[in-house]
Amino acid sequence: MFYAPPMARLITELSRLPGIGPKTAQRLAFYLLGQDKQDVQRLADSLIEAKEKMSFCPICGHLTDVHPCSICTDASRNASIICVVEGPSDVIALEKTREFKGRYHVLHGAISPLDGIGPEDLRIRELLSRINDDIKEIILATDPNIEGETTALYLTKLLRPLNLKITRLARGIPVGGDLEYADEVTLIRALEGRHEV
Amino acid sequence: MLLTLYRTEGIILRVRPFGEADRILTILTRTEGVIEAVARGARRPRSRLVGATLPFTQIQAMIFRGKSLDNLSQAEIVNTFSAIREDLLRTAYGTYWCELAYEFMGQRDPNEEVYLFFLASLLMLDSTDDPGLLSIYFELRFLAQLGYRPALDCCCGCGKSMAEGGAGSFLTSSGGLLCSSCTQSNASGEVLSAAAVGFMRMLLVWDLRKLNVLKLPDTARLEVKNGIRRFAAEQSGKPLKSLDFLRSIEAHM
Repeated sequence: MFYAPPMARLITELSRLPGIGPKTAQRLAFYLLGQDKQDVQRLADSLIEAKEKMSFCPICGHLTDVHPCSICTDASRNASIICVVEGPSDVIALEKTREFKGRYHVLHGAISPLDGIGPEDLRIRELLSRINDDIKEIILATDPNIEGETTALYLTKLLRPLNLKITRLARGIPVGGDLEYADEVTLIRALEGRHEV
Repeated sequence: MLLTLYRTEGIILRVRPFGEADRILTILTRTEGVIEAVARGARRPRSRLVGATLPFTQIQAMIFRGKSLDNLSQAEIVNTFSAIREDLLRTAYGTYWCELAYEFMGQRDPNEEVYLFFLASLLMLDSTDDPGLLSIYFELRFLAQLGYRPALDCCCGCGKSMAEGGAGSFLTSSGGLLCSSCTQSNASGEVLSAAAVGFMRMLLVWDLRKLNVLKLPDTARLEVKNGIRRFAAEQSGKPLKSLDFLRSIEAHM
C-alpha cells in the first residue's frame, strides 16, 4: 500500500530469492530503479537466457547449455575415472582446482532419511548405467557430513561387486583450521592420510 | 528468572542448513529436553563448531537462550560415535532413533532418565554385534519411557486379563493386545504369536547391558519388530520418514 503496484511487485519478486528479506528486496528495487534502462534490460535478458538455455547434461547431470556438456565430450579428459558429487556447484569447485582430469556424475542431492530423501531420489541408476569395462575408478566426492557419508557408504555397497577401484576424497584438518577443535573422526582420518614432508 | 546463558550436555539429533553458513540443530539435552539452536558459521570448514555439530555427536555446550531459537555459543565434543557413522546399517538405525526422539519428545520437556537411556543405547549401537535386536529393544523401551508402553497384561478391548505366554493380536491404534474374542470383532489388529508376546514382555524388563545374551527365534523377532514400528508410526500420527530408508537397508543386509 506504500508503493505503486509495479514497485510492490518488484519487491515481492526479489524477496522470494533465498537470503533476501523484505528490507534487502526494497534496497535492491530502489537500486534497480536508479539504473539505466539498458542495464536493467541486460539483467532481465540474462535471467531469461539462463533459464531458457541451461539444463542438465543427460550423461553427467551437470548444468550445461550444450548436450552433452563440454566435460563429457572433451576427448582429452580421462574417461575411465568418474568423480561422483552431490551438486553442480561441486563440479565447479573441483574444476577450479584444475587438478582433476576425469569426468563427473552429479547425484543432485544426498541421502537424507530424516528429510525423506532416499537413494531412489538421486541419480544413482544413471550412474550404474554409465559403468562399463572402460571405467576403472569411481571417486566418491560427497560432502563429509552425515548425509554425504551415508550416500558414500550406500554407493560403496552398491559398486563393490563391480570390481572397480572405489576411492573417497581425503578428509583432515582444513588449512587455517584449529587442531584442538577437530572431531575425533577428522583427526583419525588426518593421521591416516599423513604424508612425508 | 531464566538465565540467558546455560551450560548443558546434549546429543545432536538433527542438523538442517540455515542461511549462507549456519546450521539449525535439534539437540536432546540432559537438562532442557529437546531444543532447537542455531550454530552460526558452523558450515564453514574452519569454524570451531563444524565437527561438533553433526548428528549423533554428544557435546558439552554453552547455549544462549533466544526468543524463538537458542544460539549455540561453544561446543566441546564428548563422543562422536564414529562406528555408527561409518556403518550404513548403524547409521540407518541411529537416524530412526533420532527421528523417534524429536517426534515423541516435546520441546523443553526435560527428562534425564530418557536422555541417559538414549545415550546408553547409542554407546551400545557403536559397539554391538546385533544392532537389529538393540533397535527393537530401544524402540520398545524408549516409547515405554515416554508413556507409550504397549499394554500386554490385559485385553485393550474388553479389559480381560491376558494369560502369561498367551498369543493375541496387537492393535497398534490402542497399543495393546486383544483377546481372542475381541480379535474376531476387530480385524485391524496384527496377530502376534505367543513367542512374540513373551519376547515383548521380556524386553520390557530386560537389562540393556545383558542384551547380547538374549537369543530369540527369527520369526518372533520379526513379528515384534514390525509390530512396534507400526505402533510408533500410528502413535506419532504421521509417517516416520527415516523408516523407509531403514527398511531398504535392512532388506539388503
